[in-house]
Amino acid sequence: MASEYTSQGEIAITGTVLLTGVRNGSRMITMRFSNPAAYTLQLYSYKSSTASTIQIYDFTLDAGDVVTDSFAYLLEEGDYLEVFTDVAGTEYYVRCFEG
Amino acid sequence: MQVVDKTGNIFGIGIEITGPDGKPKTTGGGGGAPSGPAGGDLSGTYPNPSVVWNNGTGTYDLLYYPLSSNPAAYLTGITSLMVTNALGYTPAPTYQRRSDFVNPYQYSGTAVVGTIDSSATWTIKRINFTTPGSPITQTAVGAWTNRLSLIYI
Repeated sequence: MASEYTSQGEIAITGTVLLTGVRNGSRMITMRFSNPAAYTLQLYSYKSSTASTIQIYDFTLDAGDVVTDSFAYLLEEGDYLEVFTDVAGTEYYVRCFEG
Repeated sequence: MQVVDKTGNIFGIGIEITGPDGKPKTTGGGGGAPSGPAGGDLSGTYPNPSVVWNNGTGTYDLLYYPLSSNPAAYLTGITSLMVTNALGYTPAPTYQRRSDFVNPYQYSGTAVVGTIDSSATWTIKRINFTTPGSPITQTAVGAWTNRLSLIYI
C-alpha cells in the first residue's frame, strides 16, 4: 500500500536527493523551492535502468522567487530526483508517495 | 529571470514560479513554437498545419467560395442552398420582362435577369384577343425568340 509523506529542509550546495524510488515505485507529487536571495535551481533525474542522469530543468531565479513543481514524477526502484542550488538557504518542501 | 529547461523550453503547466509577492511570474517568449500532429479543425503537423473545412477535406467547400470573387466555383458548388436576406426571408429573384403584340396575340415573357432571349427558360404568356371581351391566356416555356411557334397550353 502506498504511503504518502512530506519532507522539507535546506538544499545542500553539493546537492540533495529529494526522493528515491522504492520496490513498488515512488511518485513525486509536489516540490516547492524558495530562497530569499537570488538563486539557481537545477533538478536532475537518475534512471537506474540506464545508469544515466538527465537534467529536467535549470532555473535562474530572482530573490524571493518560489518554484512549485506539480508534475507527477514516477520513479522506479533505484531511480532518484536530485536538486542543486548555488546559494545556501534554498529551502525545499516535497510531497510524495512510496510503494 | 530566465526559466528554461536544457532544450530551451519554457515551462508552463505543472511548474509555476511566483515572486516574493506571491504573484505568478511571466517569462519572455511565452513558450516555444508548437510542434507535433494537429487536431480538431486542423490537420497535418505543426508548425504548418492545414485547415479541415466543413466538408471534411483540406479544400474549400461551398461556404468558402465567395460569390463575389469566385462565382463559377460558387455556382458549381451549390446543390441546395437557401439564401436569405438580412430580414431572414428569401428574396424574390429579379425578373426581366419582354412584351410583344402580334395580332391577335399579346405575348408577355419573364425570365431571370441576365437570361438571353434565345434561352429556353422564358415563361411566356400569350393572351388571345380573338374573341372580344373574352381573352384567353395560355402559357408556354421556351425561348423568347421562338414565342410565335411555341405550343401554349
